[in-house]
Amino acid sequence: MNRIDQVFEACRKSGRTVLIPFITAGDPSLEVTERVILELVRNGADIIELGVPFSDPMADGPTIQEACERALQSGTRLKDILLLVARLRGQGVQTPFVLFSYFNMIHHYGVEKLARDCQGVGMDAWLTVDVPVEEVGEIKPSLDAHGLHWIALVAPTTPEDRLEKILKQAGGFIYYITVTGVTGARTTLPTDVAQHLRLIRGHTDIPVAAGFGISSADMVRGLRGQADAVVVGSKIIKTLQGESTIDAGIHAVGHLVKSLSDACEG
Amino acid sequence: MKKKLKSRAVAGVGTMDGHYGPYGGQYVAETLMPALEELTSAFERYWYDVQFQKEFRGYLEDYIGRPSPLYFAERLTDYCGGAEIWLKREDLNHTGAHKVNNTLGQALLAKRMGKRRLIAETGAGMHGVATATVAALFGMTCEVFMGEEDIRRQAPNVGRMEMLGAKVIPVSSGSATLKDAMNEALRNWVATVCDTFYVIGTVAGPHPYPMMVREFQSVIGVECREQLLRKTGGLPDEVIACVGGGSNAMGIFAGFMEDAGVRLVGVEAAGAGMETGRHAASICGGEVGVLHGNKTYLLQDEDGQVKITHSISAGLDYPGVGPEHAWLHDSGRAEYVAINDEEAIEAFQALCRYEGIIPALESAHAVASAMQRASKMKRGDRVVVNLSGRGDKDMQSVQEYLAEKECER
Repeated sequence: MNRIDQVFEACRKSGRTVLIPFITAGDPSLEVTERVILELVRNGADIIELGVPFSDPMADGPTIQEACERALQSGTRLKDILLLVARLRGQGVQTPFVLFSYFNMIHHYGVEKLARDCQGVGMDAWLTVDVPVEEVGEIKPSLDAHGLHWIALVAPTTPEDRLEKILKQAGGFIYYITVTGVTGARTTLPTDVAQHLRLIRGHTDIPVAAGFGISSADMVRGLRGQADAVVVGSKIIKTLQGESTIDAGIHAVGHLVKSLSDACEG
Repeated sequence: MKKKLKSRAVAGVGTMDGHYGPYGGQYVAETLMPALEELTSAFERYWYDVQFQKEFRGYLEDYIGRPSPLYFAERLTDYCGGAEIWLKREDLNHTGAHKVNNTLGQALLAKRMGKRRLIAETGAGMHGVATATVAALFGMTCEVFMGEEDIRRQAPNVGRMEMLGAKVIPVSSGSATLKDAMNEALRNWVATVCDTFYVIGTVAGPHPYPMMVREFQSVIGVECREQLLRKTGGLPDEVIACVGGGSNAMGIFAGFMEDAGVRLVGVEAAGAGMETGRHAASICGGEVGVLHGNKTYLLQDEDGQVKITHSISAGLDYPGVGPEHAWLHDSGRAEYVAINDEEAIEAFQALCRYEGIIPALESAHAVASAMQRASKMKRGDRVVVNLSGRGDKDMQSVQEYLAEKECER
């Protein structure tokens, strides 16, 4: 059983909302990323989304764009991100990892080769920002062959008939994009989020995560019962950057994730 | 109606789902997919609609000034001493380039779809000006994303866009050129997709853009074929056009696609020279990749990060190329070559001095290739060059380049 499915099953039983922090791998270096991941795990992260830095992050707002720039400046490469995951598994980290990437990085590495290597190091799923259901045939066979989920995105603009098409391919969890826009921390979410989440959950038993714009424990509490999971990204990246030293940044991230994790318990 | 589009597709490859062999596709965020579906069905519906065609053709004729002339460049021909060089004068269109054929078509679609806000990316500024122009014509609002480097080197076009009522939004990320402007336009579109029409200026981007922009630009090739037949009684040996994203090239190629005897030549920007790595020649020097919604040849490093490109011509300074060009290359139907900055400047000057025509730096790449090729062909052969735009915007770039060369000496 995929680690992601195990997490959702356990949290469903205990009534916990699954907490999924996102970080850009290599921001500002892979050494720091390793320490941040351990801090996330210690403070209650249930699943971790690892962003692969890309030169042209078209679906991201300024926070993640800048994180990508920092990661690329420190020479972060996809194969080193895989090695990091292998190292963490070696240290006994059991938290599921989702590889979050623009498709060119995957295509350039080789779809089948990357899927095989991901399985080898203990990655659990891919989230491909710019591969909609129309193009998923290009990666799905490799993901299936190597026991990896394809985390499908659903947007506020997705009509019901498309949703059906997407759900047929999806596994692990559905990522509902709460805002019509790019990534970035916001203080409030659109009023139609609950309605959309209800619609999706009416169509599937696959757990549904809400992401984009979520930045506080209050917002997490507001989503409890509506979503099975919450994704927090830009806020974590900002917090890591917001302190004068790396140590203080990591400590602040731990504090933030602890408060989010507490909110996930209710 | 679907059959007609299919028959125009290259080498029997259907394009109704936007794939050209292994290229093309729709690699975009889910948020945009419903908008692309809506656009595809609107295009398929209206492109064959008599009323739409009537309106489109009417504006092409009365507003843009089509057909654009096909001109025999006699003195340039004599100078090169070989094949006849003919120029398809897209530089004489209203706004000074081929770009307006496409923005007119897209704005007419936007009008029918009830979208009152246009956004666009621009490199050299010609597409931005052409979008600002049709926005004014139809009473729409317009925002144009432009890299800061391009704002600097194409300043006259920034003034024109603003004069036409558009807002120019500077983009400072990445290399601050066309690719980054397109990233920013896509980010804006994701957030405004419900009321905004994204006017892409080239035959790249997600389906249906490559197909749609080719269709709107195909008027160039269709006219050109008729004009040359009328003037000379024959077809050209070669049709030559510059390729950044590749819309003017697809436009003129479209008219000759089924004439197997006509060689189609796309000219990419070799920048400081292919051997330096500082160029923008995606087909000649790139690998297959995915950017801005389509799979195509892409300039990227050994990790798959998109490379910073270089060309003296802002309009060719782009790391990708339209997917249909990628397929025309692989299938052998078209040939792709590269011309460097220096060769382009020489051709720019030659066309000024011998014909009294100041070409856009983009078009000067095609002229340079035509001059080289014509000189190796025999008298009586014919090459047609798509003179895609005029060069008023490039005075500063050319003067800076020449001054720098002077200093080096």
